[in-house]
Amino acid sequence: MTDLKSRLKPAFRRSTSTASPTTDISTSPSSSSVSDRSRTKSSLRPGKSKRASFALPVDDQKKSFPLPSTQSTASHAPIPIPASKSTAVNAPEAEPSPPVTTPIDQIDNPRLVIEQATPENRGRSSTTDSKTQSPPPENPNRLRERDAQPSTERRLTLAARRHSPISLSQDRAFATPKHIQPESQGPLPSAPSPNSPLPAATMPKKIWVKMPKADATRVAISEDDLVDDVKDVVLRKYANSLGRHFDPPDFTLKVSVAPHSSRHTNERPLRPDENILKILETHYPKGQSIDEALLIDVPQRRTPKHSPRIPVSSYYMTEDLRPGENGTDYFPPMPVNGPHSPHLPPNLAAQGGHTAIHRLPPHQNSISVIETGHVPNLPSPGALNRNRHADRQRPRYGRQHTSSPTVLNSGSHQNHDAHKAPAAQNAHLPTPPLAPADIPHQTATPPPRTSSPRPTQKPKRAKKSPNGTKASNQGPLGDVAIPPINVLIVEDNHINLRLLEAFLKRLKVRWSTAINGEIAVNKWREGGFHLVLMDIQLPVMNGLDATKEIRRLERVNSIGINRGGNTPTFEKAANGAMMVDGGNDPSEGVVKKPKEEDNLVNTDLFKSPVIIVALTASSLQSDRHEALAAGCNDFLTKPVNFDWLSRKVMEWGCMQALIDFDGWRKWKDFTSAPPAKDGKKQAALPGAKDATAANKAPTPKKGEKRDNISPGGAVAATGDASGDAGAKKPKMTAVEEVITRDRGESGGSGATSSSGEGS
Amino acid sequence: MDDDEDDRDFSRGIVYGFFEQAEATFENMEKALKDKDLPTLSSLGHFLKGSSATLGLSKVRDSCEKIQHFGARKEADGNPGNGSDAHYLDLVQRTVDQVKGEYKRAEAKLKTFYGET
Repeated sequence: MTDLKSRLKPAFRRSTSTASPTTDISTSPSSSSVSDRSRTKSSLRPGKSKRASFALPVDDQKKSFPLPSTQSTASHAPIPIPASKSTAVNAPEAEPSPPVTTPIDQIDNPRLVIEQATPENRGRSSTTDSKTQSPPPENPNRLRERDAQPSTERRLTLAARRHSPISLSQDRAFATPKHIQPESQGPLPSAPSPNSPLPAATMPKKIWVKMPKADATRVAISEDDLVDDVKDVVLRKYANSLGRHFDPPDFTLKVSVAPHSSRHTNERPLRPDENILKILETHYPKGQSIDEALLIDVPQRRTPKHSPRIPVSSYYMTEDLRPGENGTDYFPPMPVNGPHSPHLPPNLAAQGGHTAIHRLPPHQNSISVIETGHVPNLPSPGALNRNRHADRQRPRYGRQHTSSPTVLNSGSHQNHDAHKAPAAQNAHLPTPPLAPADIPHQTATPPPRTSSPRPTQKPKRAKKSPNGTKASNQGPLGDVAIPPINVLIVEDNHINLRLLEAFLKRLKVRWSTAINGEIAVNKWREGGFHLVLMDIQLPVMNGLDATKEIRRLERVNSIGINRGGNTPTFEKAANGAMMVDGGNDPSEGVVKKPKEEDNLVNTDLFKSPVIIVALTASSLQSDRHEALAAGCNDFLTKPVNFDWLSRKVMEWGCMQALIDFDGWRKWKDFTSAPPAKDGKKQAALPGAKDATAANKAPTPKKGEKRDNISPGGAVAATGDASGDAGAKKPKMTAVEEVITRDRGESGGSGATSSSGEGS
Repeated sequence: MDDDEDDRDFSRGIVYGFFEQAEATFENMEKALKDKDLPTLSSLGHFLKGSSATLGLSKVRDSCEKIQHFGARKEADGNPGNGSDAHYLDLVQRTVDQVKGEYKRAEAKLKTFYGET
């Protein structure tokens, strides 16, 4: 409102005090104030429609102002219909003429008058000095509100206005040219304005603003506008790019101080409560040029890309991204609907075209959500990390095949694998693979319930449940597929050890035990462990030291570090000559060399750093930190609770199982291919023997291990190994083509490596 | 954890294993007390603490924790102390006596429990 008043006032003023328009440069011919007045009035009438906008002074301004400068339509209007028509457009021209003292003032006034003239007039009568002529008695009612404002205020504004006029005059000067050359209306014509001869100009009524890296544009302001008001105008101006998504507080305007001048190029964000005119005055005493446009600084994050189409969905879409990615990497894609299923296999082959495929799933998932009404399984809170982890690991996986003996078919083989592997996984996941050797008797009598270590309470509950339900009672995780992992329990207390064993038995995962840190490290070196439950206080070598040692060995052997680069580094560390083949095998030959004491026998079995869960006796935070610092991934507080343990096993185990998909697949093939009996025995017994005899890893991966080992094994027990491998072959081939290939290749490379060894 | 409710082989095995372990540990503690071997006492305390905690014998566990702390020349709450070795040996001795009593009671109850079934 104040704006309006201020604008109006000048007009009145002029009219009242008016001298003849002496200095006025303005185009409008100097007409008697009266005539102008009448015109304005008439114009106002029609313009009254604008009244509605009164509440938003800015708006009004815009409408009226645009004419001269930026807004093409408005600007055009004045030209053709200079004096005659009563529209707001006309007004500006007419008014300039009346101006009294300073030309500038006059100029200013005209504009103001244009819009508000009518209202002012009405109100005028009552208010202040300018009553005399201008206030037409006709519309007083409408303008009443205005009157309320104290006259002093108006005066002030008037005063202020006097300063500003120059810019106005400039505008007008442009306006005149427009008549002459209607075309040059845009920002271009206005640009010259700063250069215009007018002296210490104050504020342009229009100011330049621009988006970063975009052309500047002008917006109309009034003199009392605060930065906040300007933002409003800006939003309206950028109705498309900004207006839809932003409110005035969402972005900031910045003044760039003389960007092209050498002085300083810094930008200053404008506070919403600053007066825009003053700012411009201080920064651009000579007037704002197009190059000095205020910068519209929009926070990037706020621009939702998808919103134009489906505004609501933007949030969900981003949200969908995560499940989607996880879906490809970790969770079987939603079991849902027909139309999508065809797409799934390609997704599963994600390893090949990572980026491309990752884009797809989100949509599919989101669509499937709509269609099925089911939300896909969301990853647990920690999933993001895992996902990232997996992303890191997965590709490496593929590479592993190639860098390993199988170099021959790298490309096709890899793809083939990628396709087959996940499929196989999906097919088999539902049925938790048992470790046949470990749990022969377990399968006969499924464990009835999830009891905690506390013996007293649980039994009661269990007793209540009828015998029939025992099976279903298996507990929170009993029915869930437990990752096929191999766990190493490190615990010196036999009581605890037995309990942990029982827990793991119940979870149906394979496990081994170690009763001190040294044994633990040695067992770990055999490979094939995914998870270590590490007691911290141990005799001989405590858990922290054991953990550190394991981590150190992992580092030395580049386990879990980019496997692609593995060969070279490992080579160096181990034995250059042998490694040239690129296989992991050569390491074995090296084992006995003094410097190589740190080398792991079967790098094949170390797909990723082992997960070490510390079992801390105390709940002291410091102990935990110590454990984590030593390289543990997680910890459990000591009286280990079955629920927690199974959770950890699930969490870490799933991750590891996926990383070690290869190992799992071999293990699975190994166990599932041969008829149960045979397979179990083989897995259990020879595995154990091997471990003790040749310091090689235990059961599951025997198939490949054997192959890989055989060359190195030549040193120790060639005959045995090769024989074993031979025996195994038929089984493996029966299982999966891929694996046969693996074997073939590895065998071949093994041969080469062994030959290298010989030389 | 028992596979069969009616026959607590598993838990019985563990509990009776604990009895043996505890008694052996107490012997070791006495020996260490004679030798004035605080570190050993500490680790023995820790050892028994672990298994007693596993079985849920909280009193025994707490006492064992004290022994562990005293053996490490700390106060009962684990804060560093500044007494003499003799002081801590004395504390350990008392605590060991106490824990033996606690253990006896727990043992009796457990044996009753397993005796019944």
